[in-house]
Amino acid sequence: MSLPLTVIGGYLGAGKTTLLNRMLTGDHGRRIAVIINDFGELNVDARLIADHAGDTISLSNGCMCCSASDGTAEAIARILKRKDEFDHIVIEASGVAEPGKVARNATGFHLPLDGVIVLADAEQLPHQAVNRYTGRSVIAQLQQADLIVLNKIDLVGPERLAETRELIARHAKGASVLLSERADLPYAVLFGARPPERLDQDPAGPDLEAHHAADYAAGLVERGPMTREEFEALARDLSSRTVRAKGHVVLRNVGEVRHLYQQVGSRWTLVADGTWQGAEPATRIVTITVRGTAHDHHCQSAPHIDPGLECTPEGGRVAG
Amino acid sequence: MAKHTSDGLTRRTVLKTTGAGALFTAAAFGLPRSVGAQSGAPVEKIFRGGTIVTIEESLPVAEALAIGGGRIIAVGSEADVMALATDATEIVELNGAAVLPGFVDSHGHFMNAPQIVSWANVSGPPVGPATSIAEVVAELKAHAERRNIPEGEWVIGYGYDPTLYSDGHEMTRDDIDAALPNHRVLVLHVSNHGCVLNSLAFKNFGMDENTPTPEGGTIARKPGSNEPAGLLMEAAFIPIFAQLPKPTEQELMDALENAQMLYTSRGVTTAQEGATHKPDLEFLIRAADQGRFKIDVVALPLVLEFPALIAEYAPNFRGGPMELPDATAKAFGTYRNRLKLQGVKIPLDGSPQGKTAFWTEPLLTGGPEGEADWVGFPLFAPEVVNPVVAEFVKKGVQIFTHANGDAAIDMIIDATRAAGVTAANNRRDCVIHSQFMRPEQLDAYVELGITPSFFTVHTFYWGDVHVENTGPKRAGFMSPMVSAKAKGIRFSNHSDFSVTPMDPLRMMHSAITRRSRSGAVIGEAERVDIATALRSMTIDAAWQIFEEDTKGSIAPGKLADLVILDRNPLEVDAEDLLKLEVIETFKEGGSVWRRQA
Repeated sequence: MSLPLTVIGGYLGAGKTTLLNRMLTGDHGRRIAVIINDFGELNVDARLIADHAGDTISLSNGCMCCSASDGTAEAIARILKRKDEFDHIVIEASGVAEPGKVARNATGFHLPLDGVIVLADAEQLPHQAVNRYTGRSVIAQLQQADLIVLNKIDLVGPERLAETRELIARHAKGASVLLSERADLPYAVLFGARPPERLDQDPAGPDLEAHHAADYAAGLVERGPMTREEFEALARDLSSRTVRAKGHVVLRNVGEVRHLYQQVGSRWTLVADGTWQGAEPATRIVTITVRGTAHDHHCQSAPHIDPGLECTPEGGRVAG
Repeated sequence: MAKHTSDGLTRRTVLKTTGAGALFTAAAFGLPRSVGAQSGAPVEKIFRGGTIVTIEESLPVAEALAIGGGRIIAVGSEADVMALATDATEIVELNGAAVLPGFVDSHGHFMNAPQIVSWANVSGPPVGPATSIAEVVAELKAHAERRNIPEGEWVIGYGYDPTLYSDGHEMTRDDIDAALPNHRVLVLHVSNHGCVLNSLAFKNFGMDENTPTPEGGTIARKPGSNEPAGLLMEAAFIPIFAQLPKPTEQELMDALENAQMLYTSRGVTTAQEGATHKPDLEFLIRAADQGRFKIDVVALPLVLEFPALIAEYAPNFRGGPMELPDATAKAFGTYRNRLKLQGVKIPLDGSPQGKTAFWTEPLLTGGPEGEADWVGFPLFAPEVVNPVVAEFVKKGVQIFTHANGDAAIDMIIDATRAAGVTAANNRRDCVIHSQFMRPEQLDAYVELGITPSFFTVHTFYWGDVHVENTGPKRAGFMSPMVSAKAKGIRFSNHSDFSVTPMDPLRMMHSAITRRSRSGAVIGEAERVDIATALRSMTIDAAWQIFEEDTKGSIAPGKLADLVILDRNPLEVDAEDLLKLEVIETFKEGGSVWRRQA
């Protein structure tokens, strides 16, 4: 089974720690391993801490966070020794790091990249982007994002918000931009939603919490076995109109291989993900779209495909 | 009775003279004498018959030197010093050799030493012996035999650099398999960004013709095949190195003696562990408690480790994540069993040769991946650095910043100034590397009392690359010793071991010649004289860590940390500096290394 990897970037104060706390302690049922890369510390609710050994904190919900003080790659290698204990790896890139490079430096582990999410401070971003020391880093972060979370919009007036959005549009053409307060995003956006067990259930289920229902909508795409061309056409369509999509795919000629489709913004990957384990092979992808006008959603038509993780229908031999 | 020894010195003991009268005579040298010199320690050894290079301005060279009780008792004319000899005194005939103060390593990574002494050095000259792939393979095989590494275990080499080998192509797994088919072999690339594996190592990592090449990585493949050929770089290498088995604490402990020999064999009697992680610090403390150190080790814990260190050593402290307990400074500045913490290490940028330093002006050659308008990047934002620097200043802890590019240097200048520091505070905050400075930054160093630890050996190893990347003007001002000296700044010179070898003579040579591998002079105007080069590795390096009262020169009362070189470096041509040999090294009067015949 593949262990998806998400990289969280963004300058200081953008809300990375708040977001990571939500990922670690939220009631989403996933066991997340978080690698922390910055000064300071997560203020994890002490009641949730099951064990605190060295710079590793294990939580009672199965999540874990550890420091990358001896190297991000070393931390990944440690987690992969216990890969069956986790569902998802999240790396926090430091406040001035380029998250795209952090993600790329991890590609040798052949983990399917489940997106580079960059947070930006709606109030501070225009200042940060022109800082003589760190302005270049701030802009590089935006350019490397699959999904930009423009956070703290409750703390900013309309003029500054427009200025910040214009700045993002200028530097990160085509990136999907979501607006948030206190980094509060649906789990369905952060991790992708799991397909429902029964057809009469809401596709996103508990991963799209009630208070997000006004802003986000879930949908279910179901198909039979597809050729590679048919699948790529579907992926292009999904990445042009949804901010997030995740699910399993069955390809013609390699029907016995279960493939995992993950899409964040316009980046999508397809990797072999074990077998169907007795289930009927079927393509079932849960999509998340943005409702109304409260959120920006610029999408590129050309998908970003990770070459190392590309679908190879002939042999079905890909990473994972 | 005179006795010849294999190291080129002659030793004997003599009958003679009364101790009290002799000490009285010694006082007449007019040299400063500390309490230590007057403690009445018996004169154990007298060195004579060569040159004592004291690094003291009042008496730069002397004829003879008396030591006892781990300290220097007297230095001066042969007649005066010999007058101190007793019947228990050993007379060491220098036979024309020179005694210098033991070198002080002003910045390096001591914890790399116990690691690399268990690896094979396959570097090209002058770092290592290999000039061809055949020699690399032979060295790997010889290493496995010398260390009795059983089949199936790891043989690790370092310094692989095909640009210095005669073959003109990369080494392959087949090259290594031919000699070591039954060991797992990993040979680190000189950049530390890649490696070459043999077949068993590929098998160990589960890599074969089906392994895709990761984005941003290289997996060399055999011609006409998808089978990995041997070389892995960047993103393909990162997980390999991360999964390499780490030496156990006992293995590291057992390697400490050989590790220290990398220093003592070069006359270095004070080493620096200049970026200390918490587990490394705990290892060093245990090693010190077990009495494993023959030389002094100065540790600089990394700033990132402080929250964890405070949580462990000050569990009741209730400050914020980057606040320090009031008593923090008490943990610093004092040796215990040859180990001391001296200050905090704050890394601000990467390396100029890796293009990860942080400059204000773009490189002429673009970024590491061809990025246009590339200035590198800082490791931390000023909003993080400034309060951290202010807190360490407030709590009285000396700060050692890693800064190679001028923008990173600006950052620490800003932070130090914002913390209210001036030269009058005598904090001696050190900017390690200080390589790509702008001239006016030296004025800020003067204002703030910042002392640079320069890295002149870069002009040799990477000088040509720096000219290409930054142009002759910026490259010519790297590690600007002459300009710093003109402003009255005291500075040290370092090797950044194991980035470059622990080789004080080459460091000195580079400070004097600033000559690159290709023979170009990198910044003619910044070449210093030998006396300045020597000071930067002795008295000024000692001053930088507040040890100028006990180390760095040969004066009565100071520690008898000494190196004997076969010739006087003040009197040889710059070229011959590289040919000088260390005959013997003493730490507090005890011989810690001696040249074999």
